Amino acid sequence: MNESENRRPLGIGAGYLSIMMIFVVLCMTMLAALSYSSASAENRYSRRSGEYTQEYYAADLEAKRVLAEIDGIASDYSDYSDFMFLAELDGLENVGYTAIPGGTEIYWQTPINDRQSISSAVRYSGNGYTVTEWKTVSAYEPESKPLNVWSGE
Amino acid sequence: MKNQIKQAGQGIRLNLFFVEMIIVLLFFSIASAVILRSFAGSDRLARESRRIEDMAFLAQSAAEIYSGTADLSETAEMLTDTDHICEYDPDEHEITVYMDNDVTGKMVETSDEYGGGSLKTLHISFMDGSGETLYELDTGAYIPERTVADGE
Repeated sequence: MNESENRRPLGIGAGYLSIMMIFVVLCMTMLAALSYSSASAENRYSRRSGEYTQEYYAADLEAKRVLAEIDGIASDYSDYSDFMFLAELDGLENVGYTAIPGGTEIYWQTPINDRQSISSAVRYSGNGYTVTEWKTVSAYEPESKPLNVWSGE
Repeated sequence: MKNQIKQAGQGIRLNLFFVEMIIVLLFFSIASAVILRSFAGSDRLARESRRIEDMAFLAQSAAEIYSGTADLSETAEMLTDTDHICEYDPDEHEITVYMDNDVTGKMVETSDEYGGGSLKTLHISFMDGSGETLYELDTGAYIPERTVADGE
């Protein structure tokens, strides 16, 4: 038998190119999809983070505006246990107060979003106020304000 | 006769190979165009994310400095220390920050008087070359007229 008759043709046969192309395109498609989904997730996270920063500082500014209103009322009084002072505080929305020896502790919450808010508290006594609390709290946290009861002092 | 048939078969095989190559190249070029478009989209999204992060970071830095100092000149000075080109205009109560990617930041200070002091507000905004606002943030500081008692 002639050996040259049984020899297979040299070069790439029909079909190999298609298989290689399908493999390369599949690999490239997977890489492109992974790259796009990763970039998209990062973009979504950056936007959310940026939006939260905006919300936080907007709430912080609003809390400071409430403080300015409270201090505007307080500037007319020297006795921070004055009935009229407390009556004016009642006129402010979402503002509560507790009588303390020699003054009043005033507290309010400013929502950042549905889940969080800024909890603020100032203590008026002597000749001005002291900020006793200015922190972010979860909307689901139990209220930790002390009850307005005699503490034995 | 046998050789003629063999030669004809090889010619058909060669033609088939070229036809397949043309089809493969066509399909590959179309697929590559779609895939490259996707890569370009990823790159655009990544650049946008970085830009948002840069703006939010700078705005937060400025907001923190201003909340603590309530002083625009000091805010501009401290922002310059963070490798940003800042221009402070004391007459307009304004800071202009030049960032990469053709983004310009403006920080404008306003003041509202209340009975017990003043509430200073800083409006921070970032715009691109066409003037479109990309990111905004408001912060402020309350300056009481009376002395604030020491913190506990």
